[in-house]
Amino acid sequence: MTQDGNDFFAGYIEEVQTYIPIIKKGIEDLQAVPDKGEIFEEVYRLVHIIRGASAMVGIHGLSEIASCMETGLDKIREGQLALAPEAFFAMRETVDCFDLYCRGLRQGKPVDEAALLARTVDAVAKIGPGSGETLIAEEESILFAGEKIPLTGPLASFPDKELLDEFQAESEEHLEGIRHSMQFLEAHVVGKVRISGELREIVRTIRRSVHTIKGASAVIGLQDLSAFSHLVEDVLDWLYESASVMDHNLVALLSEALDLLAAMMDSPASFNEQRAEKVLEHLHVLMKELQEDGDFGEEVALTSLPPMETIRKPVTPPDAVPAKEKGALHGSLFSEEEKQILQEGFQEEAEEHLHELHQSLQVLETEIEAEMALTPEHREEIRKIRRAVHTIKGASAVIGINEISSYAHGVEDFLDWMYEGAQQADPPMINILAESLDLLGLLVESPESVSSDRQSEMHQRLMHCSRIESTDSLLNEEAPEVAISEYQSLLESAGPASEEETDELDRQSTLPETAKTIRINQQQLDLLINLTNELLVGVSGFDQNMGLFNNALEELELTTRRLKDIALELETKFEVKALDQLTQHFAHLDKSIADIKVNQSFAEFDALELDRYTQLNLIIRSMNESTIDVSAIHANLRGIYSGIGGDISRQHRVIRELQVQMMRTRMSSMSTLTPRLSRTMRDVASRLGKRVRLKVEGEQVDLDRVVWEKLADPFMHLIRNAIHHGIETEEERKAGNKPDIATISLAGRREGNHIVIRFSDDGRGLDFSAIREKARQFGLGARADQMDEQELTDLIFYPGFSTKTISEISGRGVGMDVVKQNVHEIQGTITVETKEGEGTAFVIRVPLTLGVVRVLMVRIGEETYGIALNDIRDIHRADSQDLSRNEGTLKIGGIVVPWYSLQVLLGQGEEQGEEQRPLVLVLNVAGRTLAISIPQITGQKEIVIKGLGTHLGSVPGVSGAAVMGDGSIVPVLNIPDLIEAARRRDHGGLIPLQLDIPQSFTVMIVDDSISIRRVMSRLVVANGWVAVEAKDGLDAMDLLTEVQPDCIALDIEMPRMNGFEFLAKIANTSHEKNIPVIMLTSRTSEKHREKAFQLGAKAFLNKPCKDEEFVETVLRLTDTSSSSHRQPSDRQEVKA
Amino acid sequence: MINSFPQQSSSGKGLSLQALLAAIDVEIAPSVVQDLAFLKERALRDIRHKKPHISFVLGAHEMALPLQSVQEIGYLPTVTLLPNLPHWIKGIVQIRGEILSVVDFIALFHLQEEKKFGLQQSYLLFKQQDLKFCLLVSRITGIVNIDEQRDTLTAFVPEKIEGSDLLSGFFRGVFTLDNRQICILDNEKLGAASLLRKWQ
Repeated sequence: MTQDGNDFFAGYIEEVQTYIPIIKKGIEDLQAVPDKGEIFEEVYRLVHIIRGASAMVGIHGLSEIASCMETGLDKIREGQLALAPEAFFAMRETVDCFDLYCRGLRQGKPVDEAALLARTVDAVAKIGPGSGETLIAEEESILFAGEKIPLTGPLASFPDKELLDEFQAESEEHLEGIRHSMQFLEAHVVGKVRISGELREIVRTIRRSVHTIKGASAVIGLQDLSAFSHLVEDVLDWLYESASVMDHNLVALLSEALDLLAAMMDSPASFNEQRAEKVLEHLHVLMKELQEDGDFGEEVALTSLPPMETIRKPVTPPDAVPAKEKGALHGSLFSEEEKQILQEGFQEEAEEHLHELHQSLQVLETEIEAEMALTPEHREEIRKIRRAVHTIKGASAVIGINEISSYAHGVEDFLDWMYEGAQQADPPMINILAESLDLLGLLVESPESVSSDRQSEMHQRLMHCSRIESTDSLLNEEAPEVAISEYQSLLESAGPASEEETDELDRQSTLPETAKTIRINQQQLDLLINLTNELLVGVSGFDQNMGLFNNALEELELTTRRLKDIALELETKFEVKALDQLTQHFAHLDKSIADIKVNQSFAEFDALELDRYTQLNLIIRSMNESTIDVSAIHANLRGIYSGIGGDISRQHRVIRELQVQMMRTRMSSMSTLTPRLSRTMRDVASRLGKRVRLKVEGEQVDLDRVVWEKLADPFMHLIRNAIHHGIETEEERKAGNKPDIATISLAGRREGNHIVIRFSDDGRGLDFSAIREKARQFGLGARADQMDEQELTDLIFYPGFSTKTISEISGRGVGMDVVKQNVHEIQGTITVETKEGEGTAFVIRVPLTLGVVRVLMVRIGEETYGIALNDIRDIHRADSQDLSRNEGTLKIGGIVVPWYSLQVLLGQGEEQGEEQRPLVLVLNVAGRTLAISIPQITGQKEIVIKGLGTHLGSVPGVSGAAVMGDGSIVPVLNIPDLIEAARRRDHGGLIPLQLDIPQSFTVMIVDDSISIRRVMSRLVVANGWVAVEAKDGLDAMDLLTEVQPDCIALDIEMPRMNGFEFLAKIANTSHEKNIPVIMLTSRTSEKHREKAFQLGAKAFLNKPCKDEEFVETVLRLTDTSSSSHRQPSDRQEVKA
Repeated sequence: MINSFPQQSSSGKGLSLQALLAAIDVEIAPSVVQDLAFLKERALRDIRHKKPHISFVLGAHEMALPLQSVQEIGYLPTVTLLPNLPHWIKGIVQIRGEILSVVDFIALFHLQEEKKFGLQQSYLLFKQQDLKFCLLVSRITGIVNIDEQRDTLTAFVPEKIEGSDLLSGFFRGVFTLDNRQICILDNEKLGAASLLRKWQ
């Protein structure tokens, strides 16, 4: 469209408008004197101009109208049509159309182009002999003519064929949906029925479709359709929001109205207005009747029902809804794959909502500390929670997880009541709410892990809670009654009001996501990010070559200078002399010069009158010239060099920016973790009977999603640990003058290039004496007494080190060692701060950017190593008096820090020739400051850290290696690890703690029955072994990749993979086939027994078996007597 | 007539010799084809049965690894040293953009060291399942084809190779070819050896 050239456009319209009076005048003149050919020609010319120019400008509608008239005038001129009053009428009509069109365009209003054109066509058609009909065009045919007259290329805002087609296609879908829904209603509404949640949903679906049709038809200018839709929508509004009962009559009428709507869309001309009016009238009558009935019924049933839904009922974010509704209707049409995609989408969406409601819940939890009246702010939070729950409900219903939707429905009812009915709230109520929402979160994450009992129990508790309160309030208040007049006023205002509301909700729901988003495959994104990282490193590779280039240039410069000197020397020392001396030395040269002279007949000149050039002179000259050339080339190269340098640094900047932006795409805030953490916390706290609350600060801290995923398990473990080990019981806390409710806080903030996450509790702090005692037991002996608190703290990160006994809480196999490892994997560090009686804090520092790391290149002998710049605080030359080599300390600004020599740490012997002022790196790692002296720094680089190959998984002190641009390898050092490794090396392996920790004896229990697993686990744990549970063969196979049990107790009948299949499967593995398997089954037949033994089972026990029998069998099969060191371990974990 | 006879006879003789040869050719053609097919088949069968092994000298002895466990051979690029590694892992190298560790069996299995010739050190890239490393060898001697069914491997006698009892656990046997004694290494056992894998 040419609307962009607005000035031009407006100018044109203006021009057309100036023609209009002229044409009008012409028509009048013509009417007075019909045979005035000039006037006719003038009118014809103007119309012709309008037609042509409009088409050029792009106002095709106007062009067509003009074209229509032009054709008419043509025919009049040719005598085919008579210049009768009809013709003048037609002309006037056309000019009116021009006028309307132009005015419309100038005011920016949508012009009903089709109608105008139809008017013209109609009028023109009436010209001519035999047309004796009335001259007034029928309103309706004008309105709906748009469909019948195909237009070639009108403005986009007008209904053209394409738009209409699209509208009809879209409406078809909606009509289809409506038909489905109506069928459902017709089938379910027999006689007078109460509108259940399900029916209400259906009504809402219909309303949604009608609303869309209304909007769409209004936009493309089908006003009648839009108006009728609006009336039907009003009825549906009432039905959805206010009505409590409906009957089959209403359904039939509704169905008729919707049929009319459909008919109207199919062929607008055939619309029967009277019938429509009648249907609507009937509907309204019925509505009144039903309303009265409903009010009556409402009063009776009020106490036993969820609160009545009012007009304030939240509407789910409209953007999300239509697709889902369609989904619900055509549920069976989805393939498994599509369902999978839907489910994934649901998970993602639900997570967001869970996060939202968690935030609101936190507000409620912190504010409602005692019984108090609900403030509007509280209600607002409740409303937010309700909206989130409602959305989850809707979405889950669509994708067919009815379990969630029905549960969510119950929770929503409770929230409805809280929002609308409840006057007061107290902590127990909020607690119930929190629990119910936790359960919802659990349901969303893994629906199969929640038994329906738990759901119904929760429902009952919610009901109970709300019932008590509501009956209380019912005693005081009268039952809400909606007067008919009130209802009517509601109904009258329902249309616009509901629209406004929808708009508002639209805005609300779109607020959090201001920008449009696009979903892309994570792998694809990872690939892109990796490529960007490589690109960044690749550009850094230029620097190296640029360095070489620069060296070459400098060399060239030197050479040029030398060459110049030589040339100069030659010139001054030899050329001048050559003039007199050389001739004597080289007589033959003289002769040849003489020859030349003769030949060139310079004989008339004397020898002194002409410079005589010998060969040498010439060579010296050309050498001089070459020298100048070379220096010119050098200057050129210099220019090119700095040009390339500039280009590279520009490129560098752009690529770095690109990398930062790419990384940002993967960023998400800490809030993605918090719902899960708070759930874990509540769960663990309730199991241990402790009261804890989670305080989260700095939720908006952004980090790579991968990092959060890596940190999720460590945080869970820290929470479990904190509640289990750190936080005292309520009595203890009271005794210690601490608040009853313990606080675990999670605070994230940014510090330079790092994100620092501080996880702290206000419990009792680390018990150093217990740790020391344990260390003594684990083979450290007297050394344990010499260890300081820092060293003792480090011990908790050793695998298998624990001072506590039996913890069902710290499941999942993540110990503090894994916490540390996970943090290390994301190049982070973890430190512990603890104060007895006041609590413990774990401080996790994670670098902001993963992937590309800036390193300092340190050269030792022939090798270059990298040290991450993130760790380095400063680099300076130390005074030798500050350094005490014997004690291994260095004084920096009055503070004594441990000092190491990198060469010694790397095992490359002592430093050669103690330097007077050694180069020292001061590092801040793992909360400690230490100094390292290094021989030489060669620069800093951006590198991508890679692994050390498949063979070398982990080398102490080396976190990876990078391949440089020239193909060389630079290992990246992990200084704390290196120090630790060196210390271990020096002590001759005296401290490898993990070797001395008794290995636990593990028994895997594979059974589909939870109770059997529980019983067996208890038995196993009671014997001092570790129990690992698997719910079927497949689960067990998965677990076998993580744990190596010493024995397996196996059931036969299990879902997914039964015992026999499991046996057959592990027989093919290299390691697991040697694990003895005890069949533990209720199948006692010989056949089963034989089959089991045939497949490699080592023993066959019948359920229920005696404890001693089982223990004996295990002992017999594993021959534990010989490995008596496997004493009951202190650390028993039960896999859940 | 007189003239014509010898002419005739000579031409007749020439013709008859050609005819004779042709006749013979025609007669033996099927058996020649048969023979060829037989030879081809035998050759194919031999190739099929013979498993190629890469032979190399390690310490004082010649050894061989199945071809499929050797991804490539070549001269070793510069080795980058790493701290805290056993003496038999020489460091890491970069081969085609990949970082690989360099393993020295002579140091690992305390084999007798051979005098080095030349500066360049050969390696073969050993690959078994997920385990991959550069194995240092003194020199690569070529490919030997071993027919697993026909060529019998003699049991390895530890006394014959001094100080190699550690490595001998990975031998499948000794293959004798002319006067060469080649110890065939078991790639699967090597690949699964915890001795090698504990650094993973």
